[in-house]
Amino acid sequence: MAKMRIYFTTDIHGSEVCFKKFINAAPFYKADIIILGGDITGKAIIPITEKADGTFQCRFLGENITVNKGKTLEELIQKIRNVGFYPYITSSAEVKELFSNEKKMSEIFMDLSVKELSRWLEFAEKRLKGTKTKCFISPGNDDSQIIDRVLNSSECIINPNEKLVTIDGDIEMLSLGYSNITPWKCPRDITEEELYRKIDHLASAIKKPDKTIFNIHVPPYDSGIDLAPELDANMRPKLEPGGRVKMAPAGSKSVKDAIIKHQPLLGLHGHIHESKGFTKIGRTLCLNPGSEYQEGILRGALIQLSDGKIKDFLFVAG
Amino acid sequence: MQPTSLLDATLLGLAFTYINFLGFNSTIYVAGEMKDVQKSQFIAIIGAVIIFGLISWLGYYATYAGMGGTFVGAISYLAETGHPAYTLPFAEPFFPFLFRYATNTATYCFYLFTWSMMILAAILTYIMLTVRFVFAWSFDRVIPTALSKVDRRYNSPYMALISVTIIAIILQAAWLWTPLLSYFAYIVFGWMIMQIIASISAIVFPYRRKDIYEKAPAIVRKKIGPISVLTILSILSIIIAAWLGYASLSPTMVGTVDPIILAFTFALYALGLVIYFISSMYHKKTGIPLELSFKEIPPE
Repeated sequence: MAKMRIYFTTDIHGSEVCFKKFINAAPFYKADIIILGGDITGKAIIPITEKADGTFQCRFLGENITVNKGKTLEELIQKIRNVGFYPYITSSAEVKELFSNEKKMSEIFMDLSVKELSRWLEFAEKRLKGTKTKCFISPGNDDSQIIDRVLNSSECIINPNEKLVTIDGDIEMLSLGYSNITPWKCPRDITEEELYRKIDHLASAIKKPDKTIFNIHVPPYDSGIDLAPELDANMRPKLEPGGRVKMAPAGSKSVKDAIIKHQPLLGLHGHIHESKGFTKIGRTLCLNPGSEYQEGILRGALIQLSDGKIKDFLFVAG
Repeated sequence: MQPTSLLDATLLGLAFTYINFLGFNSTIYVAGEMKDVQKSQFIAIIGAVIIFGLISWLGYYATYAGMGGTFVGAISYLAETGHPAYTLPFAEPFFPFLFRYATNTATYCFYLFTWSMMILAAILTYIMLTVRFVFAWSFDRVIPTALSKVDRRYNSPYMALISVTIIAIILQAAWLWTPLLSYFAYIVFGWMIMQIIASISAIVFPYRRKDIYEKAPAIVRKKIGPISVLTILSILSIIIAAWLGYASLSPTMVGTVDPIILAFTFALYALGLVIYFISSMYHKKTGIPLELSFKEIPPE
């Protein structure tokens, strides 16, 4: 294809409205290819307890909410899903048990992650079936390995994680959802050495580096698109004199080295929500669209390719 | 415009106070980086008005008390009409200059120092604001991307800063050697139009983007009855902005209203549209329409 438009977004962290927007982005932006670059599952469960009087109660966004069965309950569930949490209807007794039994809480969380993602993929299948849109969804460092089988089982989306795939013509895409070690020790956090080995292994099969896209969740170190609040020993943001939050690079040195070595056409990154931006490393354009999933805003980047070269790009907030 | 009552005079005085205070709302651009922002921003904005008000009052009171209102009015008239009887060594009988004759040297020096600091603070506000605008336009691809380059070491948007400095120097030269800056006489009026546009957005925001509004912090979602406080404050803001826009065009502020300068003020808005139009055409040609930047994707 001489001309190609790519839509890239990332870090939706369980926000259902953002996922639906991602799928609808293809016709909306007239994109040939849509890519979701990782961190797709939610961060927490919101228990909704059924009371004896037939009402349902939960604590959500700092407020105690009581609703009746029916439309208001459905609306509450949808609100919770849109913000990126998993609603879980339960009893007061089970809530007490969950808070004292970490293992059970984790099992329910995993189960909900799989169920919600499966539901999302059903939506994707309905929308993408019969279209020419290619849809790539890879996991990120926050996503448990359990979701890989769900992503791999879908017929309408491609999970490109840890693969080098041809996305169109001679344009290839190397994808990796791992990150260097974060303070939160996420499921796909690995050491810089491991990260470099994985990238290098995949990159060894690249045919034309200048026509390759690096879809790597973590951004390159000290690139300006990897600035995150620096944390103290208690995981609280460090403050500069005057009270300003101290920012520090949190990207990966291995990713930076790999980009310098292979000089791909484009780097698509996420991971650090507050560091939306673009930078050039040699001839590689690296983008991080940032994330505002909790507001239901889908931040992304449109990239226009023509004859294997970047003609234009634009950050969008959909 | 001649004030006919104390309320009239106060409202006209409000325009003057506001002009000296332009830029207070610029603090929203750094609010995200402030510690305890709700408290600090409130104290800073209100505190600045009080301090500025006290210093101004000191100067005005001493000048009037030392010279009498009739004398001050008379020399102002003589200066404005170019009468040869006006022989003071400055073009206009501004109060900071007259204050010199009404008080001792130490107070006068302190007073002038505070005025110079006020101007310095205003310059900082304008530099911060314009650099931020240039950076944002560049980041959003409206103007060349090179202008959003950031220095890694200091996180400084150096290209935007350099471009703003160059434009400022050119305008400074224009102020010295051409009458260009006299065309900016109604800039407060223009600023108020901007304020009104922003206030209209805030009025409709809770209803048009209910999804985002409902996720905002509790203080933003406060309501009086069924109406959002944000909407009420925005309506008040429009009323005040409309008044200030009107008052800033009054003869006491700008002399007679010159239709050419008025047209120039509106042309500044048109210039913004022209820049956007050219950029939009360029991006349409290269591939991605700029209009897509903030269009919401329908979720269903």
